[in-house]
Amino acid sequence: MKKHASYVSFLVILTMFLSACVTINIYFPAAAAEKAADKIIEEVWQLEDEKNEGE
Amino acid sequence: MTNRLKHYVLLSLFIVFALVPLTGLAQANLEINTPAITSIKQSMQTRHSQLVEFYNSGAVGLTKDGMIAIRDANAVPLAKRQLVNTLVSAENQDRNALYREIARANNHPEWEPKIRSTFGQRWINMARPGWWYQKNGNAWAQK
Amino acid sequence: MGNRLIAVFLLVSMAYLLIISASAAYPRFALVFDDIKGPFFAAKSIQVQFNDSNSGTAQLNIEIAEINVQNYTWKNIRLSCNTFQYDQNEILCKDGSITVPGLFSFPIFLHFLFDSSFLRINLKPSKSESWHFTLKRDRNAWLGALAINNGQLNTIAGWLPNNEQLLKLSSGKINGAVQLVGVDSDLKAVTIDLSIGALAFADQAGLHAGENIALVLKSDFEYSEQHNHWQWQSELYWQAGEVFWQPVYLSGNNHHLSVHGVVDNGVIHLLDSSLMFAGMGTFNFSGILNISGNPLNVFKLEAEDIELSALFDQILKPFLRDTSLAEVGVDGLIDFDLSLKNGVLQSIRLDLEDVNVIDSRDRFAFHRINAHIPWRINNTTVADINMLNGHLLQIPLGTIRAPLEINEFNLFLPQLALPVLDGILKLEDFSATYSKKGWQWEFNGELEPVSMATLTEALQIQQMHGTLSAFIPDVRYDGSNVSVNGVLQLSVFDGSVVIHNLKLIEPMGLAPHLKADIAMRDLDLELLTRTFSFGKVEGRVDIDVRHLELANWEPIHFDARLFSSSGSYSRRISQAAIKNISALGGEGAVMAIQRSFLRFFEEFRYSEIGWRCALRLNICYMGGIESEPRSSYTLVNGGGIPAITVRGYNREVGWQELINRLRRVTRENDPVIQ
Repeated sequence: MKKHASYVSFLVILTMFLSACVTINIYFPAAAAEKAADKIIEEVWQLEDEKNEGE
Repeated sequence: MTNRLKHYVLLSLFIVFALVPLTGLAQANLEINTPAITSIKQSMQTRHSQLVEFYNSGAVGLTKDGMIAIRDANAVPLAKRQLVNTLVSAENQDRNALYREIARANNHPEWEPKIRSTFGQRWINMARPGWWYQKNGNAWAQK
Repeated sequence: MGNRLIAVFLLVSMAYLLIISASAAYPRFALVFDDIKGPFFAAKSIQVQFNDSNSGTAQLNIEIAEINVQNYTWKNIRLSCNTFQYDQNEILCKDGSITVPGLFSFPIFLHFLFDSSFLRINLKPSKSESWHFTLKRDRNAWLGALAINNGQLNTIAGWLPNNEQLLKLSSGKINGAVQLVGVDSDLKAVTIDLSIGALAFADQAGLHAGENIALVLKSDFEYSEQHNHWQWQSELYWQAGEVFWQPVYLSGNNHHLSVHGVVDNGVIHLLDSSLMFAGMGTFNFSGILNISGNPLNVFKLEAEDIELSALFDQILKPFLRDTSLAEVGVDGLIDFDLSLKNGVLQSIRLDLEDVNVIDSRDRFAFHRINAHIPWRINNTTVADINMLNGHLLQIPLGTIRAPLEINEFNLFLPQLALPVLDGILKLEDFSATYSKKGWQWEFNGELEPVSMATLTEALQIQQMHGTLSAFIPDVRYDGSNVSVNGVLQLSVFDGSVVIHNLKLIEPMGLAPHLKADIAMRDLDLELLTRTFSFGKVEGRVDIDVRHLELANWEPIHFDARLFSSSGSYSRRISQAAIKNISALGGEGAVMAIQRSFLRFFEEFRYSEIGWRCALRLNICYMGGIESEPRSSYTLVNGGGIPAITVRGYNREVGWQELINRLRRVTRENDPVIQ
């Protein structure tokens, strides 16, 4: 009985694994993109200079 | 020199290549230091000194799709309206190129729309008080 | 503006007609008209009240519930005369007023003489402003005259209902006279002489606006009984002020529009008309316009000796903002004519005289272009285009003469010899087509030897020797990308270079990308190292650069491999070259050589040289002769006596760092080791 259960769970895991493989998720690094955007914006708008001037 | 080579000497030398390795290349970062991105950035930086006057006066506002647009041309003297037009159009060309180049530089051209929308939010987020931006319903609001 | 004036006069003259019809017989009455309709206007519910208090003076009230003139509607218009004098000879309304609630209310003076059929209406909307209208009748003939003194256009504009899409007039003064001559119910002649000053208008977005505009308008319209049509001429002078009409900005400076014509049964014939644009030249035009239906039946435009710089900067450039022509300066003279029929372009002729086209970013310049370019619909024509000289991406171009075949939107040039430095670029079978995607073109050709010395000097890069010649296979531009179908072959450094899969993406864009695979064979290392002052290396190398991608002309991606060519040749490497190779590895290695006994030898022998670099995201992943990656790699394999082997251990190098070191090394000519 125990053996049978583990066999089922193995099948379930395998199915999940396989189905996960079907959908291809392309990961977009949202946090990194925000960080990159902020860096570029600071440079283009020269926000760093202002901060330094203000300090 | 050949005089000095009286002895046939078999030499072999191992020279250690001690080039400074690039550290801190964390995978979590997006690549934004390519020549193309740098040149676009410089072009935008130069233009910004001209554009800032029009952001301040409300003539030009930030759109939610990461572009800029003429919001109220009446805030600009007649003779300068053509300049505003030119600046806005050139800036938008640069911004389009910037988003495309960032996507390309990271070997994911399909990221362009996501990069654009990220920038769209960040430009608005970092805008100075008094500048105008486009809200979700396309209406203009002031920071 | 005309509509507004018409509306005011319709209002007044209607009152006048009502007075005439009502005055004679009845001392007191009230009349109600339900509707009056004319071709241009309609009035609803007109009430006329007339009270005769005592003989000679009376009161007159006219109320109109609604007047429609074309698209405008006014409601509750009221004309009243508190002292209304009348007898057999005249009618006089001295202190009348005319009111439209919410819009205006101002005094009006009406005077009508029966015997000479004389009518006078004075309107004084404000103290300094007056509109005098007189109408004289002599049997069938009549003469109307309107004199405007200091008329305020903004008050008139204020009467109009608000429409956001319309231009809003914020100021404007009008002075002058209008004369109307008629017989019975027919108008025979109109003379207009008006000057408009301080005119300002804008739409809500401010994309169409004008300020401080001064205009003078002189017009004559005359009905010709003989020809049964109207003859007309108008002169409009734009003396001062500025207009921004998205995206064009113009300022007034005695520009002169002169229009002559004939109006016949709803068809306008424009004859010998012209627009003189100060600083640019005169454009002559004529045409036939149908008032209803197709607006431009026939149209001809011609101009001679137009200043191209003014035409380009003021009119054309604003429309070219998003193209590579946006940053171009153009000067010279241009003659042109064009004709349209039923809204379709029939022919164009362009003649360029000593035209210069110069890119402000210095990407290209073309000097002294003279050209005759004809174009006809459904026809093939041959243009003759000549250019004295120019440059493209810093490469000088010589005199060109191109007989270009034009067939509608297709261009064809069987052969073109383009002098490039001391060589010739021969283009063959150049063809270009304009479609919805923009311009597309293709050509093939060859480059006859150009000396590398002059080319590198022109490009202001490292001086190189040898010659450059190339066979250019089919090159295509599909609207955004340039691709080369086949291989591009060059010969440099006594070896050969073959470029495959060459593709230029958005070449004129902000960040042009270039992709290619390059194979170089049997390059002479001695020539190569001498050229770059690297330190002498004798031998031959092959270089493969695969998947090369340049962005903004700088490499961002490639797989490069340099290796010794097969065959027998002298394989020697100088002390200086060894020093430079190791200097690329940092100062430490140089010191190591200087301290060792190696400094006694000027030259070493090697059996093989190898270097690999895979550029990914600004990092060069290096390797040497070995194809298998190991912890270290061999750059120079020793062989013979004295021999030297150079090994590298660092696999990842910042690309920029590597370039900087290479620059530093090659800048120091002839390094001396002590």
